[in-house]
Amino acid sequence: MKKLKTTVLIIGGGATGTGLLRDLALRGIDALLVEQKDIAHGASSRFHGLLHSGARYAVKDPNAARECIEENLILKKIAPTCVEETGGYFIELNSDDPAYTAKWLDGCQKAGIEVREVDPNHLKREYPLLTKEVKRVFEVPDGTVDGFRLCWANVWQAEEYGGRYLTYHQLEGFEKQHGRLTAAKLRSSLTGEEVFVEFEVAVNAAGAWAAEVAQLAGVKVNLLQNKGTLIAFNQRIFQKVFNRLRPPSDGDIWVPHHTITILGTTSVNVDNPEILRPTPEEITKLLEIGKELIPEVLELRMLRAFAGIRPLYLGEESNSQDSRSISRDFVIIDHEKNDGLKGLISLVGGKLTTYRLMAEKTGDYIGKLLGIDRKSKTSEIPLTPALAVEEKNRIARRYIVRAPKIEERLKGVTEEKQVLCECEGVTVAEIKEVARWEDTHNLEDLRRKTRLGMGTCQGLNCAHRGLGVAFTELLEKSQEPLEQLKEFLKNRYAGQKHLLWGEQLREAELLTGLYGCNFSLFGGTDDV
Amino acid sequence: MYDLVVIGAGMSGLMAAGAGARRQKKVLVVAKGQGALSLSSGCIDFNPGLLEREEGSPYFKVREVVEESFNFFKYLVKRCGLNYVGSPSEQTRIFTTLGTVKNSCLVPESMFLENPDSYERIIAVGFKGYFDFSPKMFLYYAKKSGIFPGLKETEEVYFEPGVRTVNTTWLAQALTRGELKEKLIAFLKPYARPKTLMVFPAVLGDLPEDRLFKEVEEVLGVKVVELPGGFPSVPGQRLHKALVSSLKEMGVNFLFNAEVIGYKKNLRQVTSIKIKESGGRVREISGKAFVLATGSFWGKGLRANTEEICEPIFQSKVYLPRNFAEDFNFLASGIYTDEYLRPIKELENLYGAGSILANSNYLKNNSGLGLALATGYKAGLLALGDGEVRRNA
Repeated sequence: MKKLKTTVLIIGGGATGTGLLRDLALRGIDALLVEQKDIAHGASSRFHGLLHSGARYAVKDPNAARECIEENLILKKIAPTCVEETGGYFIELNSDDPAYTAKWLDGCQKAGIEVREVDPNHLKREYPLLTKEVKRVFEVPDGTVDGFRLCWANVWQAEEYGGRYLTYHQLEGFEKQHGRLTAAKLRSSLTGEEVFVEFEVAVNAAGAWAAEVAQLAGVKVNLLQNKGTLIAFNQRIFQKVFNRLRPPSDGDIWVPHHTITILGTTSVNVDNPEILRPTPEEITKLLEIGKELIPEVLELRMLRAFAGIRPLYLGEESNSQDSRSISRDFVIIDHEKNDGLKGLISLVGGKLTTYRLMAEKTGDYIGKLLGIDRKSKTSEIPLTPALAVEEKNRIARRYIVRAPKIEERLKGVTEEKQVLCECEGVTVAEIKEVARWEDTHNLEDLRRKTRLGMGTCQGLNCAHRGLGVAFTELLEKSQEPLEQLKEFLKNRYAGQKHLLWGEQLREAELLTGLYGCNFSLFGGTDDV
Repeated sequence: MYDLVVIGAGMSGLMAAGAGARRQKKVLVVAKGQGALSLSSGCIDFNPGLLEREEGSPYFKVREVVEESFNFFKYLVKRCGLNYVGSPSEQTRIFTTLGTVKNSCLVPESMFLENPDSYERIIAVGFKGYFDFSPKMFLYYAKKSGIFPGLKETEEVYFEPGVRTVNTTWLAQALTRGELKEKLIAFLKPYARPKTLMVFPAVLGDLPEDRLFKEVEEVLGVKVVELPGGFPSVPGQRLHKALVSSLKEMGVNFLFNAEVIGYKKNLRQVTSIKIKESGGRVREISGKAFVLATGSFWGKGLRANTEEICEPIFQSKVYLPRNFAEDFNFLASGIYTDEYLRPIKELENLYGAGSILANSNYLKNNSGLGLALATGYKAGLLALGDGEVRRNA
């Protein structure tokens, strides 16, 4: 058994947890983050990737709207390589209520969100796919954010300031002494090794799993697990975020990301954070609503469907009828005040756009608890280098503080310059280098860091090549390389299986044919 | 007027055409693309044991022609210098570039690995700058497979083709033309010793008649094996080329890049199909009998939208597997046919063949190309009104 000691133990490696790790590390407070799977595997990557301008909340929740626009501007400043300043449109259709538009414009003005009306004909010319029903269009400073990259940027910067982290470590229980939590028992899901961590304060930042973490400590956190399903399209349909100008509802946001576009989301309450399956009803609903903006939506090539869980805090009540009316604000619960249990804080609710603010407030609170009076530096110290142009600085944008390691390789051996994943432009050097890193445990981790296999081919051409190229490095991991490939393929199919029609069905068949038949990685057995 | 018009130039379509050509009939193959054949590993997977477990499998309709069709297939490709090894009653084990072991039935001679226990050394030959084959990974899994009990040493070697970017298509062409072949052989010479097996990705020549693997074997006195891998698949392309050119020599007519957009019938017979050629020209082609061998979803024989799956040319009735998305069950989708492989009762001279047929999940039965081969051949015979075949069926 491994024994570790930390001042603050952070449970959960999403935006909330990694944001807090960074905040504490920059304040010089000793912290260790533990995560059950890989960084950002939950809602921090399983969402539409919208960097809110706040306009979406302008009518319903002016406070959230104000927070969003403030944080939006801070993130654009401190993390330019994790966000893309696409801008966004709010689109009123002929069928929408003009009275809502008036209310919305008023809300935006009050929240300080800059709005500019755009000629709808201009939009129709630029996007021939768009419905002819567009009536009014407004531009707002929405952006997009890459959840994987943002969370890793937090972790890697925290690491430079002394923050520590363990991925693939499952929390199994707490030690309690005299009404205070003092230590946590964890187990590596890769090697089975037990880890015992002593701490002063534990922070439950487990997102959709926060209720389960609380339960291990013997307290209750009343969470509503609200599933949102999304569809990824194979092309950058729009250059900006497209929002419907109406009260927030299902299927009304289109967000361009890298080479794809994400349409989301639904809102369905579930009783378990592991229920991440989009249902056929959700897909149908999303596409029906998608049709209102793009009538030919079914003809577009889709890549995959996926779902994430929004953990919404119910407070003391448990009435969960309408999840959209529950505030998406975040809450800091000190279990000493609520339950008489010292040494545990739960962070629940919140949005990715405001993750930094949430971390700052939590850092302030923990500082007070520990008697350490240091200010948060997260809004001043840049998280990533200031780089604007995607193409030129692709490596620096993608790998941030670790980019020099890859740039070094690209300067050296010439074959490593070759692009191995053509859809996402990933070079051999990136794959070999990222595979080497200690926080890369398998091909799936590699995919999340490099985007290998995230594009049109979904791994058809690049997954087996990637495995071969980084074989030496991947052989060092606890999972067999071919098992890593099987898991990669299983997860690719898990996203494709909800959209088995048209071109994506053809592609799914091709992927199955290559890996199942040609490579015999799964399928027919020889037991006859 | 053709005796037989085949729609589709994949394995089943070509075998149907072959059955016709063998009987000196006037045959036309109309095809829009290449289907899945040229993307295949080049191996004819066929496993009667697994097929028998599949309820409603087309296998039960073609059993009696399996032997004959496989022999005819071997004859067809051999005409182009492409030898296949194996028989329908046996499984053949081969390796892939990933080091996985694949069970197949008929395999190209260049992949066939006889007496694996007789090798003491394996040399895995990679190419510098070519990332479709990792000699290291292959050797790791080959050693683990237990298939080489006599193995004493292994070595990975990397040949430098001398160009910056190396891809499969370029390699397969370059290795058999010009001086690269001589360089390769010279490079490998120091590794040539008795009881040595040299493995290569399947790039030793792009044409069916290329026998570079034999040449290396003869010059170096080692055993050479090619490994099928990712796309593009050179062995699949060789197979496609061999079948097409053999059939052309036998008098089969081909019309490529032509899409079938409709048909005409008279009483209970299809009389002609309407086709659209690549230039946009539309015309009609008459025939006495027709074989529908347009493939599954990839080949566009079946088309799926969010509501249903259809067979777009004749609107044959399509079987939709239950739990469509689970466990790749969608692969069993296909058209229903009667005992004579006819999809539509009212169209007595129309026959279906290959992966368009229902209840054939090639992932589960590991018999994709083998079943396409046998059903294609049988559909060809039936379409020509071969009375003998019909009685047996």
